[in-house]
Amino acid sequence: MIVDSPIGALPFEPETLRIKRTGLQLRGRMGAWPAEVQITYGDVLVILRALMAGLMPSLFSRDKSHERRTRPRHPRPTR
Amino acid sequence: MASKPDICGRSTVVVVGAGPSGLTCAARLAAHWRVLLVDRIPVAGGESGWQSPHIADLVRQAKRAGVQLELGTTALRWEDHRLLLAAPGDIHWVEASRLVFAGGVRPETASELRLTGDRPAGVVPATVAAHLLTAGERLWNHACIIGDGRWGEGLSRQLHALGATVHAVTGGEPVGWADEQTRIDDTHSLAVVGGLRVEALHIDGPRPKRIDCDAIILAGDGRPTRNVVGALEEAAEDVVFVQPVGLRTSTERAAAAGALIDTWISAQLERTLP
Repeated sequence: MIVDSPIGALPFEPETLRIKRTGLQLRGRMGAWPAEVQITYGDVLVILRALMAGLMPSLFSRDKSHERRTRPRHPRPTR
Repeated sequence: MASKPDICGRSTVVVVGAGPSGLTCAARLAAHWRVLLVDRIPVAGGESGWQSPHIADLVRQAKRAGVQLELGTTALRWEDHRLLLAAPGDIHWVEASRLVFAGGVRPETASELRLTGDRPAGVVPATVAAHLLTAGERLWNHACIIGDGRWGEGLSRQLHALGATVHAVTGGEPVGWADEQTRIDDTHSLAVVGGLRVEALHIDGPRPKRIDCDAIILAGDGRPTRNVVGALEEAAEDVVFVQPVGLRTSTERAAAAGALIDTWISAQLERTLP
């Protein structure tokens, strides 16, 4: 994982993920520094919504292509 | 493993700066002394970046040589063979026989470039400009870059990618990275024009000129960075400065630093031999 910060892009290596009463606690290291991300359940909803918004168009287009592939062809009009 | 020789009764050498120069010095020094390598950023690489394969290789070499890395730690003061270090939640002294300072280089300041005139917003050092532009925002439309140091070309690339134009104001050879170039020499003087924000750069000389711009980027030849109290002057006691200037790639800087530190190591070993 890479985190942009005021001192440039830094690596973030997750080490533990704990489920807490208030949300999720992700602990890891940002280079040599210990780092912690606290994710509230509200944040989880925002992330899920953003993920769904990102995923939906591709799922939708895949469905459509599938539909295109499987849709029975209309018979050509005969002259 | 045989014990490593002492210098002044202490066998640790502290290297400040984990860029290509510092990493190279640390690995070479570790063949003879215990070496502690510190850097204020929590990853090695300095301006060259921790993701560079060359840096990853230098880190591997340093670790293999036995260098102890203390990253994310700022060196503050060098005094009586001790270096004061500050890290998040911790401040402590380490004893060392020598301080090898490899803190990199910085662009010339406005006063070093003899830049006078108004003091509006929009006059920035090249390193700050590069950092701001990395965020991907088009902050300026017409930037004026003063100097042809190691930052000019990269900055110009970033500015062009964001749709801005670049005017280079340099001495010496023509540069290939700017839309326009004005060449200056010692007979010219530079002045900033602007109220709240930069409006232009005025060049006074045999043929005075006004360059309209909304940013002035200071990108003159690198000067050694000095930010550890007690290790600011070349004459600082028991401090070795390894800050090669005028080199553009991390490979060049590592090679130059390696040559400098090898010479210093040879001199030290000759002095300690019976």
